[in-house]
Amino acid sequence: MTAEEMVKAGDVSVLQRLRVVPASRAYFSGQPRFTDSLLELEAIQRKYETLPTIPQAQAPRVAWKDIVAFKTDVGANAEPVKVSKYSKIKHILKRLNRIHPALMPQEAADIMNRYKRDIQPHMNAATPGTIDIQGRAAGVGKRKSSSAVAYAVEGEGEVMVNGKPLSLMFSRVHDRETAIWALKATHRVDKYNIFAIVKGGGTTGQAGALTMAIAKALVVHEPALKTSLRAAGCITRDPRTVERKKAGKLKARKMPAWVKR
Amino acid sequence: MNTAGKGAKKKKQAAAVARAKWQKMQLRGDQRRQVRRSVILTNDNALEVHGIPKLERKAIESLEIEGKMVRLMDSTVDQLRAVEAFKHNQGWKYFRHPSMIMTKAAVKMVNTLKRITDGVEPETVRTVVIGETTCGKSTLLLQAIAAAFLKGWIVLNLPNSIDMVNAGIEYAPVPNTSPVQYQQKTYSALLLTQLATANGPLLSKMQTTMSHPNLTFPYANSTLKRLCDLGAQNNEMAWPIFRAVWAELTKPSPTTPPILYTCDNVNELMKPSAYVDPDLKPIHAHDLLHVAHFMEHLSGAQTLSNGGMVLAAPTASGTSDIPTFSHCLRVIEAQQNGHTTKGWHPYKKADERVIRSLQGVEVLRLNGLDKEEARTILNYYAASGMLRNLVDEKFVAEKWTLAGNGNVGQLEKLTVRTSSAKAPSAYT
Repeated sequence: MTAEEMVKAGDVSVLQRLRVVPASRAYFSGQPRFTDSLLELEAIQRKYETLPTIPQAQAPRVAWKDIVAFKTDVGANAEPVKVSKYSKIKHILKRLNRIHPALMPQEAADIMNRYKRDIQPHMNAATPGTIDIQGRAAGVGKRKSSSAVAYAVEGEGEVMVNGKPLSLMFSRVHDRETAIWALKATHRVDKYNIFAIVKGGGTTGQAGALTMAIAKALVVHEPALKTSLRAAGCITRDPRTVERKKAGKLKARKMPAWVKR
Repeated sequence: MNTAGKGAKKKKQAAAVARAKWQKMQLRGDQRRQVRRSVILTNDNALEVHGIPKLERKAIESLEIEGKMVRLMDSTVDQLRAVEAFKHNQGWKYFRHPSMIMTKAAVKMVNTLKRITDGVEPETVRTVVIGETTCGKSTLLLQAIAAAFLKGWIVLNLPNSIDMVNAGIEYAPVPNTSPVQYQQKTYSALLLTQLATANGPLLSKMQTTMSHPNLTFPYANSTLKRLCDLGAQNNEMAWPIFRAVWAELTKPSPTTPPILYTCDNVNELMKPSAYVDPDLKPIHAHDLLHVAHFMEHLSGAQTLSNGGMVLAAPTASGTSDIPTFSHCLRVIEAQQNGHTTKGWHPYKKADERVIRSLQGVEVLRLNGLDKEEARTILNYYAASGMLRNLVDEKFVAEKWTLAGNGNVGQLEKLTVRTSSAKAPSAYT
């Protein structure tokens, strides 16, 4: 007869020599919400452990709630939840996410939804550019305070910027080279005609904005070029802009000259 | 080591620039201008390019020169120098011999000259060549002048048209004219010198046949060359002699050759000049005798009785923009192409004289070279040793685009006029 059967039968003498342990670890905490959540997840994980999984790389990308959002949502703000503890929850969620999508149980999907962020950035795929009926693809680029729109069409290398040829637009040869760098880096100088509008900023910024705009338009025509264009530095927006002036300084960093009292 | 070498090179260059500046400072004002404006047509350090045909009369007659480089003959060079058709800022000084590419526009121009020469009825073609800076407008004028010389035409070129209007030479009102016109005797003498030197052999064969009441010396049966020489030596008589020679040249006659009358930087003549009248008001350029003479022919008020061509080209420099002039050219070009353009600003005053001077002219727009022509000229640069890159399709395509869709001056700037050849980058 086990101790449990003895207690049920009315014989409580056994309790004098046994230590009673609560079934849930949550028994010991003031507000056991975190632990409850963890236990709930553990139970589900255990239940569906035998289902086939897919590799992590193929699992759908999910942005899980961070610890602050978790604590707010489950009302566990008063509860000290460490990041390392919360990572246990995330570990289980990731495991559940790896269950083969075709066999994903409703119960697991529901509980995962509770831990997903409201906005899933991975779902926001950029709208792919299109080539219009005249064969033009548009791209937008920025650099410093300039912004450019470039339209690329298959052709023999004519470039018009703001209705002017490159030589009239940029008197400095270096700027012209910058502007068509995306074409040169991919050996496409004589394969496309470019028509671009560029506004704002100075010559350097405008040339840089054109590089990016032309690269983006080029990618619409030939998506495979994106890697080499990225390597050539045409895809990423250069985040450097002019640094703001601060009070007490003459410029962003320059200090006033020292004066003897 | 490398950076130290670069620094030393820079220092050397700076020293050379300073030395050149100092040498210039030692010259008088007029000498300095001479140095600045000197036309250098040869470069002993450039390689001789073989296989370039000479621009001869026979070559002009055939159509085989289209898109090819041609070399000017020494005799033509002398004539072109005499009419000051070479400009000091053109790139002649980089090459062994003055050579040029016969573009489609140049061949078209040559064909027009041919049509006028061969035509039964005398025809006067009036053309303004337009296009962006350094696209070859002045060179096209030079090519037309060279072709005219080879075809035995009389050529009169108004050299340095800005000099006519910037108040650099003395001027005087012409008596009994209304509105008052102004003569520039030195300039008239200069033009006569040019006529006599460049067209000497032709003019020495022609004799005066008309009566010229303005000439106060016995001139009967003297050759036109003699008249020109007289006028060139005597400023006071220069303008009457110029009129007399022009009257003789434009008298209908089967033996008198057609005339090519050209003017570069014509937009400088389309505005009030730097001269002032007795009330200190600016004198309009069209009130200067020689300018008025050219404008009469450009506007078609006077025709060339033995046929010929009046050819003008403006500078495309933004600082010289004349609103009325640019507008007229835009309108004419649009009409030629069957387009419409915006009208003139309703509250701005247009220069009526400029509008009149451009009535009925043909506008010829010069575009950049095409890829084939660009390749030909880059090959010429390379063969001259002035360009040390491999001229292949990729190189031509890149330079063509960087040069603003084949602008020939820009092609030269990118290849010949750069101080150092571009090192191949990682991506080429």
